[in-house]
Amino acid sequence: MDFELSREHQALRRLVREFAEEEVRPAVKKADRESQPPMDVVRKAADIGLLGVPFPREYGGLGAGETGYCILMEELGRVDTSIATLIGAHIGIGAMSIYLGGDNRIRQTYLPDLCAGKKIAAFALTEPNAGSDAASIKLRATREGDSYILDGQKMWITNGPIADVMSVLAVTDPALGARGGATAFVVETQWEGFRAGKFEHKMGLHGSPTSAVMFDNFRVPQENVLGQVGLGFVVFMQTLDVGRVSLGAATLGGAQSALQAALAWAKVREQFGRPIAQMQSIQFMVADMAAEIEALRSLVYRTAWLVDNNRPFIKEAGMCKLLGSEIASRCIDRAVQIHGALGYSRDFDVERGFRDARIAEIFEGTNEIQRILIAEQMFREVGVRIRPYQLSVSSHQLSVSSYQLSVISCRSSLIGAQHLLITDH
Amino acid sequence: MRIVVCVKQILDPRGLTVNRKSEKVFVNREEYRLDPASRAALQVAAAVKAAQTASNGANPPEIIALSLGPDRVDDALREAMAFGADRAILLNDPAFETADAFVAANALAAAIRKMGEFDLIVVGARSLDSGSGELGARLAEALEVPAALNAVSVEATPDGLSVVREFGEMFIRLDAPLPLVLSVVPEAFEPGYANGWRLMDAYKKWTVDVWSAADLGLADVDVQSMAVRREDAFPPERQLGTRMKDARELVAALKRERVI
Repeated sequence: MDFELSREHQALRRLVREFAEEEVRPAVKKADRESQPPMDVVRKAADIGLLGVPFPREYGGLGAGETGYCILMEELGRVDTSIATLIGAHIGIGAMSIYLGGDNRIRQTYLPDLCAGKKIAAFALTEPNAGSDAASIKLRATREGDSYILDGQKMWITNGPIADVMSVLAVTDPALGARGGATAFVVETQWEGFRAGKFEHKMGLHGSPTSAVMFDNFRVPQENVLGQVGLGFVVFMQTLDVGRVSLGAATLGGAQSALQAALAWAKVREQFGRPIAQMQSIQFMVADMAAEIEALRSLVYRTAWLVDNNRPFIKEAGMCKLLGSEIASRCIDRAVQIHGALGYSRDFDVERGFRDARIAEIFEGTNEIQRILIAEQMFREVGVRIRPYQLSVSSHQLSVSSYQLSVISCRSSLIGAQHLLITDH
Repeated sequence: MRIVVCVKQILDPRGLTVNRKSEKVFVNREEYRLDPASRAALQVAAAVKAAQTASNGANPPEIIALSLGPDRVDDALREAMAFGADRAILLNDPAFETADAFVAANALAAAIRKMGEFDLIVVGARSLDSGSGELGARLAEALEVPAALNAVSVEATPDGLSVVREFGEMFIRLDAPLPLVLSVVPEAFEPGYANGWRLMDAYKKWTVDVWSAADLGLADVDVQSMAVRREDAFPPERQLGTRMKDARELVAALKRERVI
């Protein structure tokens, strides 16, 4: 057993940590107060290769795999979860869906520019009436000659207002619905008929732009279908499966920074004539935070290892997201408590961290959905199906190939089916 | 054209705590990094290479990163390659373990001579750890070439380099022909970052050559440190002053102290 990161991954961590401290940290407060994404920082990250960390070199990436990508997310999350979300939506679900679902031509068309930061990506799944119930999407794609015409709306799209390229899930066959009737497309937002809504005013993550996006008589060439017609739901669910691991890494970074802030404050804050670090109540909080963070770190990097080594990882990915978000919330809550009234002040980073943390329990599949996914896997291991499968999708029907994901595609397609079942009321 | 950049790996000061009362430095995290002055030297070398390549594309300069130290310095040299060095050489030998600036300069100069021809040697003016600032001058002496020390601005010209250097409280512009030893003041150059693609290649594709003292043909006298470490000295802690309410109070205080 080897718990050491490879030397190139250690070097990547040093690079990202330095970049996060020197470039991201000075931009955090302004981005939060003014609700403006720090795009100059994103461009600098792109210049040194950080927007292509997981993807192979042939597509302009660093070839550092899921482990490298988790390192990026942890280190960015440690300094600012807003920029981690912006870059995470760009790489982890936007570009990743193109990588997982696209054939070589589509990958070559889009990935080099996305890795180089010349274009920003987004991932459009959620709709006003399709959140956890993702299978009930309504955005319609109608075949017209050798194109599809998209009409409808997506909601809560991270990077919606700034994206140049977007993966969109739309219904191509309403009779089948998501069950074989949903298709994934990669589209360019400069094409006619696209409109982004206003920046959403969120509780936190102010530096991460979110909006609705509208498609009105929006024409997409048929070459821009990701994967196969009718199997878009699988591409989207696969993307989310991988995304959950790195989301766990970003929450790990957030939790770690909460602990660091708590330690730094407990060391200098004096009450009753001594630093509060000397109080057992504070020590217990710090110990609980440290223990949870250590457990999360092991889980996240072991799951990244599973992904990079072609092992099944669906259950563990759900755990990364579930535990990561809840541990981050608990840690930042304790950090605020340790800071006392100052933790409630906008002058302190823990206040921003507190607002930023909450969403991680909601987006990329609520924690309730994660629990269902994990439980379903657990029961499957003892031969119990929670619900019967109603969609038969096998791995060979998918044109998904290596993100070193050959084994996973099979697992994910089954999970895709489970999503349908879970949401099929 | 060949450019040699001498780089140094230092203990990351962010992992250190200084306890003034017990006069001790505690190493909380033993992490090493490429010295900021070395990074500035690499950036200057890369800029000179880019300018030379633009004017003489057929024969672009080669940048060689060179360092002296134990196995762990391999990481610093790979990072140097990510900063643009084309290849890297580590001088690693038990004889160098206690090297002072004299021994380091002898070893580095011997390695540079072994490489053959060179046009430009770039070093950091002062490292963040020991900060003796001797290397540039010692190398120039050992290699018998001119030195432009403490450069704050460097431009490639058809005949060599145009260098602005610190000189006491002034600056001097030098037109420096090659070959030349150049030391650069890190604060004068915008800090940059390693290139991620090159960083991955540095570990996955490229190698660092290792030369021993025997490879360099150094005599015993060349590797005998002249500096001896006697003790660690701690400058006295600065006391916080008294904050004055306004100018009137300040003037009164200065008069009371008979300053004015």
